[in-house]
Amino acid sequence: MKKENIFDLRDVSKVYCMKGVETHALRNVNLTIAKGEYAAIIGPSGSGKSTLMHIMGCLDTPTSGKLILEGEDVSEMEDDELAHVRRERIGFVFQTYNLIPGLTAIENVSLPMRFNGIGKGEAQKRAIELLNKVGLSERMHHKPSEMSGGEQQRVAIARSLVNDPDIIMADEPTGNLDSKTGIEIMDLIEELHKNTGKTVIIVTHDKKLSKRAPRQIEMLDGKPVR
Amino acid sequence: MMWEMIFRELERHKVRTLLTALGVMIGIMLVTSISSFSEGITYYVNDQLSITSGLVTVREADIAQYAFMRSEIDYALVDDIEGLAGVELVSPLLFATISGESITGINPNGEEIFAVNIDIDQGRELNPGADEIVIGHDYAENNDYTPGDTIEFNKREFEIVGILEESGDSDIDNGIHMDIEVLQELEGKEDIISIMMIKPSSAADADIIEQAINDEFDELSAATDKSLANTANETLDQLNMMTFALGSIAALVSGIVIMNVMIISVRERKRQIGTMKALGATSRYILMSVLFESITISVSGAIAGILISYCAVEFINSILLQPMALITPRLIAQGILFAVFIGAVSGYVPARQAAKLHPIEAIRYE
Repeated sequence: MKKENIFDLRDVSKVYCMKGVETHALRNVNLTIAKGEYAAIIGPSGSGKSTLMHIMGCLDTPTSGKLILEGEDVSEMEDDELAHVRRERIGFVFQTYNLIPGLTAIENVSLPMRFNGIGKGEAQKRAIELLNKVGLSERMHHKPSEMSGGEQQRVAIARSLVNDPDIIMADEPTGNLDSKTGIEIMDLIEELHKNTGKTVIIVTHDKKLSKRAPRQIEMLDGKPVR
Repeated sequence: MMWEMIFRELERHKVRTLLTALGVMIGIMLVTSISSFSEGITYYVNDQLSITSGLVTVREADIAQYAFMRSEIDYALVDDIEGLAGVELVSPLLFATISGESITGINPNGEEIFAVNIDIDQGRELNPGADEIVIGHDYAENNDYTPGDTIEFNKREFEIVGILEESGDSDIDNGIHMDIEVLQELEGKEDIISIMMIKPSSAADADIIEQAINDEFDELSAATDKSLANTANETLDQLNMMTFALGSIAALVSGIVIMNVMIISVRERKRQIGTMKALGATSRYILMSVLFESITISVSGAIAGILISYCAVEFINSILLQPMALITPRLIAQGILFAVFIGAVSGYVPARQAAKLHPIEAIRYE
């Protein structure tokens, strides 16, 4: 039986206009990703892999073409509707962790839940549960500045899971980590893919890392070549 | 969550927050302190106007009308004034403060206190020369005094012989009245009175009496309630203009300071704001959180400013013979609303900037 598609990109193009010069970051991309798939988007810098992830992650909208997310066209949505989609359906992990500096690990993890209108008590309970799962039971009340890079990325992973989204998107999740910590983070991401069946999409320029994923989407000059 | 994040953010930049709030504090402090004087003057003048309605008040020349407590004039002049055309009655008054109580010396032979007819509710009138007092309705009620009780002034016992009917005038209702000659002796001010209240034979005579006294007596200054109201209003207009000018400058300066700080703060937090948007915060949420942050700084400055001006006003009042300035609830509300306004206006531009940030640009920003 053919698996249901979670992402369906139809002729997606993205053109940036900077100082009068048009840059084609994506050229007529057609791509589908099935529900529960674990895929890596690879390619050299400037190949359009980050732009692709931003559009798939509803952080940006295509210049032309359609992005169908679980059967729903999201390419024409307003900013606040996109914010709603991101909040509920997509968990992000960034290269630079992007935790809020003034907040503790618990508060950082519960933030997307609070944006969703869930009360402090319930959100923190869920945050504690997730922080335990990523192995940070000792670091709950620490602020980002008091944690190592690997620990901060674990907090970010817990944060990406807090609203129980169907999709996890990780943009160079090991880019700022040493190789041993990088492997630990990848193990954690793969483990959660295996245990939860969530769709996981990783963007990386590291071929060794991308080989861990069953499917590689290689980008070159704004188009998937493989 | 929004408020928690706002307070964390302010706490993370304690010095910056404090300095910005300090700017607002100084502005609000200035405006509140000056306004407190116009509130005070309005209050006392209105209070006084109600007693002096239709009467001519005579005080020492060169003493401002609101400082009448300090006026000193020769008792003998009462006879000269009584001889003027159109004068029906002259009531000499002496004001004194003994052991924290304001005492008014009145003419025990006169039928009217303050040249206004107020009946005795309980007890009787003063006997001339006796160590007796008549007290106002509210003063009796607040202190639970009845005729026959005694109060000590300068180690002399005074018997309360009468309690006045409620007059509606706070000076009379809260007052202690004794024979003016007994008070002169008690205060060591032989033959000295503070002011005279003149009741004219007819309303039309008031201006004539005022004119006659101002022309003929260099040492005296007379005012009808009409001219009192005019000078009071002039003073108030000047004060209000000063308040307005200072208020505008204070608003402008603290507004610029807050806006500057908030623009820097938003720029510094581009990445954080972008992250929040990526995690699903709406533009409205970002707008409101920056706006509330700016209002919080402004209002906390205002609260500090109001507290300091309250202390300053208390201090000034304590060294003046008579309280001059008043911090009223209206003034407090005005100061806080003013601060909310400054915070909202100056926070709006940076808040819009923050709300418009694109999540990707903001995430990329290092």
